[in-house]
Amino acid sequence: MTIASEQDFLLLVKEHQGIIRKVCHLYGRNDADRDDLYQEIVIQLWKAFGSFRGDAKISTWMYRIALNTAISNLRKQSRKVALSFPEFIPRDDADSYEEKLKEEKLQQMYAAISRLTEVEKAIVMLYLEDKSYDEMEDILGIGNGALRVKMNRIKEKLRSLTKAEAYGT
Amino acid sequence: MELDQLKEMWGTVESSSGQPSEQELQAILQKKSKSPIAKMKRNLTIEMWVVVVLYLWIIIDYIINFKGLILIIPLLFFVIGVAFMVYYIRKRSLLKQMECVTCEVKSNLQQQLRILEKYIRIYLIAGTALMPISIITMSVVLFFYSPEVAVQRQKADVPFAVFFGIVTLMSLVLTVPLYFLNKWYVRKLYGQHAEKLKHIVNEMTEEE
Repeated sequence: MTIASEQDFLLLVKEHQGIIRKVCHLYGRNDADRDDLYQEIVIQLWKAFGSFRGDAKISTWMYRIALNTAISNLRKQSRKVALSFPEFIPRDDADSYEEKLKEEKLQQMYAAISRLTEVEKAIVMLYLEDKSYDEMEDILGIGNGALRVKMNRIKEKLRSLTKAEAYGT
Repeated sequence: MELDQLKEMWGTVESSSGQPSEQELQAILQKKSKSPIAKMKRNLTIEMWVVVVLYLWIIIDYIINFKGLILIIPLLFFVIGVAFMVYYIRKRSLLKQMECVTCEVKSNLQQQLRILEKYIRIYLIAGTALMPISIITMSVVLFFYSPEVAVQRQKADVPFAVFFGIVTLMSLVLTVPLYFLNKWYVRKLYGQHAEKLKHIVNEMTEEE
């Protein structure tokens, strides 16, 4: 690939950094895992960049590659790997009691999401990204109706998982 | 906390992670993929080169040491080597078809699973069949072309049909444990990955 297209690619990755980062946050179990996944997604994006013809929205194209990479990588789940979650609220800002409580609840939610299946994580991520069910269908290939059913089930599952997290079970 | 409340905080993930520099991104582009399919492609290439070097070495060594006598044997090794190449090219083309990262996630995973199952089948069938085919072919060639065997054959007066029957039976007996060994090995290599893929594909299609 030419230098010009490499520059275009680097610009694209920087512009849509959030998509890659968020997929890594959801699928990586710790920082090292997230870094590995980040690299793999960038490599896969680069390999596919030359054939991108603009038929799909660039974000849809990126979500597909990022999620395909994260899901099909299927890294071995070692029980010894310590789970760690990113902080949403910077430590300096998390001084007040309310902020600390909020951060704690967010961590519980994050821990609950980490216990979802690979497919459920993808649906949750697109939901959090405010994607419509049509867009989700375009990325995941799961029918609109099935996605709605799954989403309701996931919300229920998360509710019970966050309760369990809160009580430490 | 409800999932909807997390939505508000979700946007901050990007900003809290920091931007990679251009140099860092360029360095990533120089790295090799660590995906399971990329690893399979690399392993297959190594395996292919080992076979190429090994077979060439056997053929050249035979021609030099036997000064061109019984050329059918190095020729046979060459034919087996070509068969191996066909087998590797087929596996490589399956690996190429296995991945479609730009496709919808479900269709990509379905494709991966379908081709992985085909790949496993080819691995198992070709890996198992190669043993009896090689033994039988080598034995037949030795029966007709090896001077040592010809002397023994004249002494013992063994008809070809009997010889062929014994060799076939022996190779089949050896093939049975080899089949199970191959099956175990293939499952160890790809079984877990195929099972996980199947599980994910089932989950994606269950409400449709």
